[in-house]
Formats: sequence, structure tokens, C-alpha cells
Amino acid sequence: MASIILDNLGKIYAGGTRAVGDVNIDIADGEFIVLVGPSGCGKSTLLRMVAGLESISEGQVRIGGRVVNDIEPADRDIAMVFQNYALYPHMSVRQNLAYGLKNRGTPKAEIERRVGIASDILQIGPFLDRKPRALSGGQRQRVAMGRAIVREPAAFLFDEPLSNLDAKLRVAMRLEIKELQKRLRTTSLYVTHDQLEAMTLADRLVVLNGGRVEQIGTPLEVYRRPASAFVAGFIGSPAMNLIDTRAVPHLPGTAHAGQIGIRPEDLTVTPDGPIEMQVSAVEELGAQRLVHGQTGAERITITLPSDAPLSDSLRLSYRPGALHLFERETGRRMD
Amino acid sequence: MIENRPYLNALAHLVLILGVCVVALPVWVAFVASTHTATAFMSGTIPMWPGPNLVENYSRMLGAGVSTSGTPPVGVMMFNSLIMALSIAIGKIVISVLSAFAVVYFRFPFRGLAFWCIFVTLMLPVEVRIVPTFQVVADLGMLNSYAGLSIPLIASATATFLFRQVFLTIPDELTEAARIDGAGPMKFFRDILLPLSRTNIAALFVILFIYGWNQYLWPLLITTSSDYYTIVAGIKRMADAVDGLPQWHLVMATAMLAMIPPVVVVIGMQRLFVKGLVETEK
Repeated sequence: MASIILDNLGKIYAGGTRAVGDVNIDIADGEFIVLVGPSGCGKSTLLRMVAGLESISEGQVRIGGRVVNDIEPADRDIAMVFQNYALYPHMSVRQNLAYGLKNRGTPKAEIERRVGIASDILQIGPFLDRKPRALSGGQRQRVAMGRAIVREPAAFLFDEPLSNLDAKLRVAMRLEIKELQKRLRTTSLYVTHDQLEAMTLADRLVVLNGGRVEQIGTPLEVYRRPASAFVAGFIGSPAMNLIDTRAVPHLPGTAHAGQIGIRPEDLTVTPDGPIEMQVSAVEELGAQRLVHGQTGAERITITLPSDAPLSDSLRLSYRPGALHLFERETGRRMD
Repeated sequence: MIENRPYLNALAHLVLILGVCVVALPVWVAFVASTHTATAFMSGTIPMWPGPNLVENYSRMLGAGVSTSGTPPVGVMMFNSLIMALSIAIGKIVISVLSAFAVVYFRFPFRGLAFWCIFVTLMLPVEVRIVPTFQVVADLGMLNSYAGLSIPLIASATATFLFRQVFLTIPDELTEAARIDGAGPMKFFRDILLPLSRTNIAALFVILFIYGWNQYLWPLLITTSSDYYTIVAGIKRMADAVDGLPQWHLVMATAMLAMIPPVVVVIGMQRLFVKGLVETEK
């Protein structure tokens, strides 16, 4: 158990390309932090710098108060779960779990005990003596997590661990990871590009874009008060409508902003609403329907109950306070 | 083939059977010859069925050898060949697996140069460099020794490339997982890389053993003492009868015996060999 502090962390590759810059994150002991962002935003690089698989060009990583910049991954007291599981194919599940402990010179009885505990927690007892290729994707995922658990590390690092699973299993494993983390209270750093996964798992979210931190906050904070137009568009599904103010000049209080943001679920259909929308497509989701359309040249989406009446042209209004205002040049939030 | 056409199947089998006959006939003739007396093959008609002298011919070759041609008993030559083939096969595998490990997993100065130096040796097989190599081996006093027979043939760019390709297919995550699990480079090599390339090592061993066993020119050149004759070179010496006719029945018996070890290796390693081709998941 330990805190992790990323202090002004930066990564510049040999060719001079900057992958990550000015990252400052304080992760409290036992906290579950999710790094989220589109592909190429540097989130995996950041995680690998914490793991020690990628060298650190600027700043410091401190795990439990100790600067680990020049410490080998094995000695950083971390465990990592990889996207493709990275199980040793020629070893049985038991050997896979025990390998790291054996290398550290852990006594046999202690290895037995920890493997036993981990296999109980993850319910992988029945296939301890099988080879990884005889397991299904979900089982392999559990073994990969087991390999992290047996080490009893200061921190878990997850690198998109669920992206190789099918959608249904992904939802189930997501919940399991959450429960497991709550139970073990191990500091965790989790990388994903899936904003839904990020929202559901995180104690706090770190939204990254182009190697920089856009916003750090609890899922609800980030959802309710996105710090920039990028975060606003990235977090939440369906994505927030971002409309150039010039397309809707008649909305009160928006004249000084560059963009307004409004979530599809905050829009309602009213006969005298200030926004006019030309409907172009409807997606049925069962309980709700997504209605896509245009207001002027801007695309706009609203969520409506599935029994709401539809027509080619709708007038929309919104609750006061549901409007987010962003600067035109920087995209930063204005209030 | 997905198609199922009876005529095509029959034709394919016919071609295969013909192929087997073409390969097997000389072997059969050699076997038949090894079971007759010396005169049977000189009479003008070649017998196609085994004769009565099988036990006599083979026991003579295994026991005494042919004294007139100056070759030792077959047992000694087989042993020499075995030592040579094993040294070459094992030596090549050890050196190439280590050099491939270095080239793939380590960033050292002149890594590219080292890689190209290995590559260049591909263009220099023994036959091309035989005179300078002979000079070097002679100067080092390795004529008529097992070291002289095997060491000049051990360096192998082909095997190094093979292992390089194998190592490149092993996912980076596995290397990283091993690093996090606290396995140092040599431990990673022993615990992860070697077991994962086990089937490739077996396949390569089969090929290299046969390569070593079949060496002809090099042993012929550097062995002058009959104690170090290898079987393949020995057969040639036996067939070179100075006065009189070659004793074909004995030469063929030796050839049959010389065939046994490579066949045993192929059959023994077959299971691993095929597994190496079928098993794709790394």
C-alpha cells in the first residue's frame, strides 16, 4: 500500500518527439485512478513510465515516498496487468502465478499460501494446473490479475486489461475489478480509452489529450463540470453537443463564448424552445431514442423517451445551468 | 484441399507413390547388394532380391572392417561421425541461440555491424573458404582431431537468423512481464526464451545433425589418421580399391549402416518436429 506521486513528469523520445509533458498527479493510498484519453494521447506511455518499462525524461515518479526513476521494474513494488495478458505460455497457471515470487526468493510455503489466496479470490482454483492456452479469454484475464495479486504490491497498474474481451464479459470483469480493488484497497492506476469504463471504475479520472492532463476529478465532477471542450466531448455517451455560438446567436448569455456545450439528455422538446433542430436520423436504444439533426450548420443530438412524438423539425429548450461555455481559442471552460 | 475429386486424389497418390519408388529404389538396391557375395554384382545381372550373406557381410564390417582399403572397423568410423555430427549440431545451436538473443534483446554499440558480420558469413560456406580454413586449422595443430573436424563448421548464420525470427515473434509484453517478475536477462533466457523455442531447437537439431553427419569434403581433407575417419568419407575410401575391384557388397553394407543414425534422429524427433510446425501460439 502506498501513494504514488507523479511530479512534472515528461517523456521525450529519441527523435525529439514529446509524448507526455507536465503531468502532475497525486494518487492517495488505496485510490483507484483511471487515465483516459483517445489513442495516442500518451496514457500508456505514462503508465509504462510508472512501471519502469519506459525511461523518464523529465520529472519524478515517487511510489510510497521513494523516488523510483532509476529503479528496475521488479524493485518498484508494483504489479502490472497487460492488455494481452502476457501469460507465460509454457507454464501452468500455478507456475505463472508463482514465477515472480520464486524470482524474489519467497519461501515455498509462502508461495503456496499466496497462490491459494489469489486463486480463491479469483475462483481460478479448478484450472491451476492447466496451461494458459487451455483457458478462455476471461479466465486468462483472471490469471493475469492473479499474477498481480500474489505479489501483494504497493500498486496495481492496468494497461487496458479488458479491451481483448467481448462486450458482455467486459462489463462483468469491470465490476469484478472494482470489487476486488475495494476489497484489497491497493492503489491502482488504470489505463483505458473507453470513457464508460473510466467513469464506472474510477475514484478519480485523469483525462489526457496530446500528452497533457486536461482535467483531474471524480467521474461526476468531470461529467458535470468538464474543464475544456475536449473533456466535454470525450466524457459522456452520447457525447455532449458542442455548438459554435455563431450558429445560435440568439441564446442569452453566450455572446462572449466561443462554443457552448449541452448534453443530449439536458435538451427537451418544447413548442417555443430557443433552438430549432432539423431531424436527420433516429437511433432506437429501447428505453430511449437518440435523435440526430442540425441546427444551422452544427450537428446536434438529443435523447428522448422512446414514446416521445417526433417530427422533421423540433424546437428545443434546456434547463438553466445545463449550458457549458468554452473559450474559442483555448477550448477552456469559462466559469 | 477443399475439393474432393476421386480422380485427382488417385492421381496425387500415383505421383506420390512414383516419387517414393524413385527415392527408395537405390536404397533397396544397396540393401540387396549388401546381402550378396562379392561376385554377385560382377556377373552382369543385378539381383533384385536379398541374398544369403547378410549376417556374414554385416558382422565382418562391424568387427574387422576392410583392411585392404586402410579403413578402420565401421564402429570406429560411426563413432567419429557421431561425435562430429553432435558437436556440430549442438555447437551451432548453442552459439546461434546466444547470438540471436544478443542481437534481438540487447542494445549495444556496433549491434548493426555485428548483425551484418553474421549475415556475411552466409555467403562463405566451407567449400569457398576451404583453403584458408585448412591453413588455420593446420596452424592451430587441429588436424586429425575432433576439434578440427567440428569447430570450423560450427558458426552458422542460418541458425542465428532462424532464432532471431523466433525471438521476434515472442510478444514484447512477455519480456516486460518477466522484467516486472524480476527475471534478469539470463534468467529470462533460460526460463522463457529456451522453453518457448524448444520445438524450433528440435527441428534445427534434426537438420544440423544430418548436415554434420553428411559432411564429406572437410573430413576427407583434414583426417589422415584412420582413427579419425568419418563414415561418409570412409565409404569413399573403401570404394577406391587400388588393385582389384571394389568390394561392393561390403561398401553397401557400410552405406546401410551409415544411414541408420540420421534415420533414428529423424524418427525420434519427428513428434517434436511436427509439433514445432503445428504449434503457433506463443
